[in-house]
Amino acid sequence: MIELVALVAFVASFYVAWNIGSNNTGNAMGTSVGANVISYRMAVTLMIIFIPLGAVLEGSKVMGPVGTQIVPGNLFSSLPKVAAAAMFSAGLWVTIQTKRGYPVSIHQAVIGSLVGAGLAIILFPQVGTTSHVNWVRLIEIVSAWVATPFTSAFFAFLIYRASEAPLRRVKALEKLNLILGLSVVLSGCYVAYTMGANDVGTAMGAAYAVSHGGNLFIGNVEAKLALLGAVGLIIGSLTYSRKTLETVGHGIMPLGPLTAFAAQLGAALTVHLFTQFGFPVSTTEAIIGGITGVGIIGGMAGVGRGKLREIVMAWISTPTISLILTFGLAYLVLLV
Amino acid sequence: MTFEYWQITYVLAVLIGLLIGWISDPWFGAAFIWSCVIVVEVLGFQKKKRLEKGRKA
Repeated sequence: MIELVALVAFVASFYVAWNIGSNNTGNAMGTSVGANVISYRMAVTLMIIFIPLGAVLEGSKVMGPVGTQIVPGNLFSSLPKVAAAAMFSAGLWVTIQTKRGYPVSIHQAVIGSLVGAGLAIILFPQVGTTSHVNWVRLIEIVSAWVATPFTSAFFAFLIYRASEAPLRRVKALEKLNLILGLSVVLSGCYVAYTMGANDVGTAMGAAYAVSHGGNLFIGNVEAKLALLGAVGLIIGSLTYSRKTLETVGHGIMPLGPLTAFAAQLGAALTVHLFTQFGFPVSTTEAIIGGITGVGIIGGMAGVGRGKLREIVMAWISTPTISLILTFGLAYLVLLV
Repeated sequence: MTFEYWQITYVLAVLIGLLIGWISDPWFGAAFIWSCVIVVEVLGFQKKKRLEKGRKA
C-alpha cells in the first residue's frame, strides 16, 4: 500500500516538474525569442538538450536539501500521502498562475507547501511520526530568494557594461549580429542547464525524501529521480510554455540581443552559484532581476513597472497560498 | 490547444528516454533523448532544404 501512495507522490512531483517546464521556459528562452534571435521550436529544442544534462550532473545538490532539511526526511517516507498533498498543492497554484500568464516561482510554492505539510503534522500528530520545521534553514532559503534578483541584476549590469565596449568596435553589421545571436543562444542554454540543476532538485525533493527512507529503488536514486524531473520539465516546456515565454520576452521591456544576453548570463550565473550551496532559488526571480539590472542602465525607462509590480505580488502570494492549500489538503488526507 | 508533429515526437522520445534511463542508467536515457532530437532536427533541416530547392527549380 505504501508503495502505491509513494507512486502518487512521484506523480505529484512530476506534475510540479511539468509546471516548472511550462512556467520557466519563458525565463530561460523568453529573452532570446523576444529578441527574435531564435524561434520557439529552437528554444524548446535547446531546453531538451540542456535540461537533462544539468539534472543528471547536478540535480542532487538541491534535491537532498529540499527533501530532507526543511522538514525531517523520514516524515515523508512514513507519510507519503502528505508529500503528495504538498506537491499537488504547489503544482495546482503554479498551474493557475501560469494560466493567467504570470511567471511565478515554483520554488516558493514548493517550500511554502513543505512548510504547510510540516505544520499540519505538528498540529495533527500521527502515531509513530514526529515533525518539526527547520526554521533556521527556512530563513537561509528565504534570504537566498531575496538575494537572487539583486545578485542577478548586479551580474547582468556588469556583463552588459563589460561587453558593450568590445562590441562597439565591431564595425561589420553581419559579424555583430552573428556574435550577439550566438551569445544569446549560448547564455539561454546555460540558463536551461541551471534549470536542470536547480529546478529539478526542487521538484523532486519530496519524491527523494519518500524514496530515501522506503528503499523503493535500486541503483542511483538521485540520478533516476533527476531524469524523471528533467522529463517532466521538458514535457511542460513542449506542451504549455508559449504564454509565459511571450510575457517574459515582450511584456517586461523590449529586449535587444545584448540585453537578452546580459540578463540570461547574469541569471544563469546566479542560479548556478546558489545551486552549489544547495539553495532552491528561482530562475524567474533571477531572469527578471537580470532584465531589471540591464534596465537600470537605461534609467528604468524600458521596464514595465506595472508588470513588475504584478509579478512581485505573485511572489509574495505564492508561498503563502501554497502553505495554506497544503495545510488544508494535508489535514484532509491525514483524516483518511 | 493543438500540437504540431515535432512536439508529439519529442514527448514520445523523452518518455522512452525516461524508461531507458529508469531500467538501466540515467545517462543512457539522456543519450537516447539527445540522439532523437539531433536526428529529428537534421531530418527537418534536410527537408527544408529540399523544399527550398524545389521551389527555386
